[in-house]
Amino acid sequence: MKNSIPELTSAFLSEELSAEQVKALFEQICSDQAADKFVFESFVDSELRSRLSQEEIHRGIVAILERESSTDEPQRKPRQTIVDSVADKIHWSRHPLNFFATVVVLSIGLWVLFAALTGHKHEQQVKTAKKPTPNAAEIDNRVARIVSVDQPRWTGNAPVSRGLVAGQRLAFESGRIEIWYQTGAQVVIEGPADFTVAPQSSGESSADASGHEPFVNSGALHLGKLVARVEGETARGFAIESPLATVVDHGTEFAVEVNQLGEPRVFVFEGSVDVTGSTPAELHCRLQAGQGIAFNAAGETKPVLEPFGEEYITLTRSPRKTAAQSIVSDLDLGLAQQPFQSGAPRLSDQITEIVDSPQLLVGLTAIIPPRGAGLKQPGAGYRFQVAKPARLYLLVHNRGSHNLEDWQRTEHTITWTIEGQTHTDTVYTRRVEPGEVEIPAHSWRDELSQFGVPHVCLVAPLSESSSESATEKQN
Amino acid sequence: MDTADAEKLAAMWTKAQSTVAGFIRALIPEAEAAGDVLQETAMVCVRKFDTYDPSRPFDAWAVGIARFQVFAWRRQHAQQAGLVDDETVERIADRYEQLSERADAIRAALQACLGEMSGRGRRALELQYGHQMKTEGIAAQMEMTAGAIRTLLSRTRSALRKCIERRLAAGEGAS
Repeated sequence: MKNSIPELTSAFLSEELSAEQVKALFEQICSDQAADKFVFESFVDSELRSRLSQEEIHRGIVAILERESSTDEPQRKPRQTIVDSVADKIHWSRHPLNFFATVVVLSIGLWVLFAALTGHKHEQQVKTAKKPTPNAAEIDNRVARIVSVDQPRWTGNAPVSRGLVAGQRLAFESGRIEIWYQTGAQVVIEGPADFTVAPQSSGESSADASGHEPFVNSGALHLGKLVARVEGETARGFAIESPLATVVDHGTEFAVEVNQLGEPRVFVFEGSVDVTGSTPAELHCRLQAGQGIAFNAAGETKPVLEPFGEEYITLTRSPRKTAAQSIVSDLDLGLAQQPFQSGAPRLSDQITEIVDSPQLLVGLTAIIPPRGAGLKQPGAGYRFQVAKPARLYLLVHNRGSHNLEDWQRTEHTITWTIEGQTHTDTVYTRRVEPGEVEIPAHSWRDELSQFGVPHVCLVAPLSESSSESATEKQN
Repeated sequence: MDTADAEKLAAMWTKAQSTVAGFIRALIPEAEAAGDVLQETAMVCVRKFDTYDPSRPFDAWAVGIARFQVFAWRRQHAQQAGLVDDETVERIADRYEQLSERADAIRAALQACLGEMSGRGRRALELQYGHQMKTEGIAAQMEMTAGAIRTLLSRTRSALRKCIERRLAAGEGAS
């Protein structure tokens, strides 16, 4: 029975088949009759996921409402208890952003409506310097990406993919999500939360030193708690709007919390932020590390002395990233720095996306260069300092017959996209000692005389007496 | 697109979304990539809605658009797409487009059949599809062995399939 097409199809859609089994399944579909069985099962499977997920949501909502109506305790604490009890009752998948879980939990009908009504304006906002093809335009609409989730229970439209478009609203009852903007800004949001990615009203955009159209670089927190980490030139100026105040960062790490009354409070962990309040009107102040401010609906403000949200900061840093960041300094202007993984940008000044990378490199700090002068000039080199011995990995655009002196070529490759086109990099590696590191230019051309884009450099710190880590042994 | 059209599209997309999702997921092995293609499909549907002929089922029109998106993805991701050959994908896409012409009837039959189900089989389906649980999780939840759950799910799905086919054959799907 397990080998029948319906059973194999069901297992395939539940991601329970190996690659070989998948291949074997599709080899069985060699006639229209066999295809019909597969298609029918796929259709029914998708409908079942849609219907039964919605039934569970309705049950969960009913349970919450029943419990809320039966308690006289203050709202906040019982609310968490209710959610916990429902979470116990409804055991959600721990698989982050399972395709069907995100697709079918709630309809995206309203999102489509929104996109229809705002799409034109939005395209204008996020277009790149080169006019994109229709397919590229669709990809370029993604201004941010969900990089990790911790059991969010969506109360609004669940995102249909990890890519997020300007104006997209993320509302969830509990759990956490982490999103990265194309600019490099990182945000961890904890539910209950209601957050809008790059609200249309803000008009905020990242600094743009390269002459390209700016990226969308803001969010609006209507309810809940978030911690933002903002590094690199492209991320600088990242803004969080809240009902009573707007926070604009200056390269920092800060927390914002908005309560049920829409009252925000802000606390800065590192660097500084500008806070502009709407009530009282025209209040403007700059907060430094260790400072905070709270607004209330009556138009009053008071200092926040106790930090909050510290526990989420670790979510924005992998251990390897933290270690590497502490040894990298003196980055040239325009270089962005962020953890490397699928979804990260390949260039700091254009909408690009790493789509496929070896596990070996995930989590290392990536120094991401801007495209710079364009196709007719070599991809520029750059410099930075490392404070400790490190192993570097260089992502070299496969354009022309490249060969780097003093670097060892590996078998690893990286895939990335720009405007709907896929490119690959070859990974080189070398060990460096403390001091200045010089990354060479990409000076090779393809048959059309186009130079490759500048190299991305990944930094893996080594201990002082290092005989090197498992990372290197894998090469 | 004016507001009335946008509302019409939103309503039709809401109904057709699972059909389109099923089509994409059937042809793209990676769930995340399938999610991206679904989003792209939705956006193309918005842009091309003025070309939609209301006399045709919306599901079939949207699946037709999804088909182009799936093939675009296959061209860009030849390595992952290589698990399935183009001929098979074409065949599946053709058959799915045909089936989507009857999507409303199948959905109605499924709804009626689900309404008839109860007991452990229904519970196992709820845990698998409503909670996205794997066999082992369902087994723990229902205090059964994983093998027994596999058998239960297999029989339940088979019964559901037969029920839908019976209703479709009897023309009861739309009732």
